[in-house]
Amino acid sequence: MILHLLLYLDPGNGAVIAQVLAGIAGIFIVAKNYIIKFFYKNKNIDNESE
Amino acid sequence: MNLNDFLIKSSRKDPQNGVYKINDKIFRAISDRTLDLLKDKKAIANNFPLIKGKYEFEFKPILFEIEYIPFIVYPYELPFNLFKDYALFYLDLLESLLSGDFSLSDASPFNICYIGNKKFLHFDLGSLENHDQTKGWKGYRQFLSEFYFPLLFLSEQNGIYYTDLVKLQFDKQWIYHYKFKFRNFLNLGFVIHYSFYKSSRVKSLHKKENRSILKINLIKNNLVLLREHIKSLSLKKIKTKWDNYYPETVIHQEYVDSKEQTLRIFLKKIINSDEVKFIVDWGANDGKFSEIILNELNKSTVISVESDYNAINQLYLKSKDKRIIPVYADILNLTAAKGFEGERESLKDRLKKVSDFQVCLGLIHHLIHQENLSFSHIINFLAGCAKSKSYLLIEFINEYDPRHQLIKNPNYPYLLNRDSFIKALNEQYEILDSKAVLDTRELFFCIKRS
Repeated sequence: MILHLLLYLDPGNGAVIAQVLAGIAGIFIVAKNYIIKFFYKNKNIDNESE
Repeated sequence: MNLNDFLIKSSRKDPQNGVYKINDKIFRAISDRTLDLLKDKKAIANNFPLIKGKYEFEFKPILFEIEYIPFIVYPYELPFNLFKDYALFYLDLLESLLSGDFSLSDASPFNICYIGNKKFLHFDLGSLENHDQTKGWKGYRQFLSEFYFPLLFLSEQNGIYYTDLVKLQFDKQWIYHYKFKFRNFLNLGFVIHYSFYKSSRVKSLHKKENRSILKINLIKNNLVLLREHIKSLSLKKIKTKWDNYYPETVIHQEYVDSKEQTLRIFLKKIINSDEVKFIVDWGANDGKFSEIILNELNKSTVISVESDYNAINQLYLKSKDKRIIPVYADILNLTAAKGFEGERESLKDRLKKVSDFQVCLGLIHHLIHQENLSFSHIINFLAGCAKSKSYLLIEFINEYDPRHQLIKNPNYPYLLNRDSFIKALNEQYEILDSKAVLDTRELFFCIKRS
């Protein structure tokens, strides 16, 4: 029901809303990758100092 | 000269950007903006074929000659991990294009080719266009149906045959009927892509023009989401007939060593080795001999053909950094011409244009007994897949060989002795040298007569 309503409101027959939602969901992955990279980098710096 | 006579069939979808093939040279129209982009950004230009020169034809806008790619492996002949790398290549390319305010109008694996050594090319220069923020990523839906869902499907199967891959590329309906595994529905990205893909089949299109702007960062996040999921996909580990063929099934190591040594001696006999550009390794298995050949003829590219989906995938993973193009195809059911009016050429036609050297090791006894083929059938087939004056290295396995005995068809109707093999070979080839690698096995090095 909600999906059909969203599709009706979407000028791109679903593609615009899907891209917005997927873009928002992607932020979590970007953030996760950023955090992993941050800690990995720190770990490497620690290892070098050792 | 009517230019349309030279139009490449598959470029009919985009009449504005027709591609022409004239005397083994490729010509196409390229917009000024695309030319500027490729000139300014070398990193992006490396992902597209080289633009060689400018030509003016009668009644046509200016055309550019672009790099000719002699052999293209089609998406329905790709091993799983190579297909996955196609998808990742596309996502990376789109991301770098978006940074320059450019985009790709479609998302088709038919526009990408692999030339070995981890190098991919997106040869459809016509799909490069200015990014329109109101349209978002135009190829999103196509990417889902031609890369994302097929990869998911392949990762969920217990066994793949070539017709499965054909279905994924040509059947437009399979996604609606197929039940993806439950674990996918725990992935937020999949839920979004899948729900909207399936639901947007509803044809009650809202006609209002989209005025809202989809920010580039939002599209880039979507690319990250897709990339993350695609990277996590892998082929199911199942044991197939050809898995670990060399360690488990070959008679003994001495045989492999002797074969390897003989192979090296024969390869040294090729006088014009620089002219051997493409080598076809039939029944390549995990690519052991493809690699040996490549070490000797290091300027060549090996096209390794294998009918086992697991083995060809292992071959690709093992030889990513070598000029080896893996092709998933079964000799007994070789890829035919496909698409509208056969616009996607058959594998035989594509090989015939490039094959300078064919290698057929430890294979003929399998062909003979599976399909009741005579030596003449096999030699004529191989000759039909090669250029004139091309080389052939073939292994003769006599009927007393233990592996031969194991798979022997009791109703086999043709002669199996060495004389009938040589007679069949002489019809198409001139034998340059031969050497026994075992009492029951012999290698023949030949050149095609015409």
